[in-house]
Amino acid sequence: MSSAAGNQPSKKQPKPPCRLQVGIAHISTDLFEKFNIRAVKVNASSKCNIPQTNVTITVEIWKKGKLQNHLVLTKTINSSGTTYPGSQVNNFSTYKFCENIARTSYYGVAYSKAFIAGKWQYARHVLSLETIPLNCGT
Amino acid sequence: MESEEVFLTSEQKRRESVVIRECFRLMQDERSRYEKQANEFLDLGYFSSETNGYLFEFSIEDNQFACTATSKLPTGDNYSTFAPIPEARADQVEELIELFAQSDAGLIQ
Repeated sequence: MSSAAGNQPSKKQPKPPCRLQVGIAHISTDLFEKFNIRAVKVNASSKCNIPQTNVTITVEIWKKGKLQNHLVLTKTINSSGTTYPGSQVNNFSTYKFCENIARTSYYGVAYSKAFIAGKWQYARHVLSLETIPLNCGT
Repeated sequence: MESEEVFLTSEQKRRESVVIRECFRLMQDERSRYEKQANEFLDLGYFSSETNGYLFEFSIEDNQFACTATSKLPTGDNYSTFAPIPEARADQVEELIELFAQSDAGLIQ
């Protein structure tokens, strides 16, 4: 299982059978502009070109601190059935409402596991490509 | 305002909006019930509920609030949520109110 946050694979490397992607931490423009709701959110998805079962995708939202970074929320979604080649398994449900508009930098971390070809395969931790400052204190 | 559209289809974006708005509404309209649940949970260290075909079990694991959602359908997706425990009890109640509301609002699929 491979993991990526948007980087292109090297030309010499064979294309991995699975790909885990994590997006940048963001506030939904639509929810803010139409409903004045602020929530920081990170999306992740996994796609394989071979069958897989029991796909589990975990997404963590982190915020940067002066001395250390702080975990905000972790959500794990387990898709119990078989996922066919080309199908995508998503974790689109990791979000946390903002308590205030304090400028805070966030990033996402995702990792996954799946049962593929008779054994468990693990994707290493993938970080968002960018750490984004948002007007969202949590 | 940063946005990210790369992963979600228009239908998924619609569902995202519906679920997060519902969660936001629940945190306000059901606040009194959630506060009672939060205090019960903080006193006992465990709370469970059933909503929308899921069994939700709240506990404390690895010094975090944990919510495990188990589908009553064998083919349904299961999920779990972990959140760091704030120091002050009032903040703990607020954190739990959001966890309860997120559980009741459902997944963005």
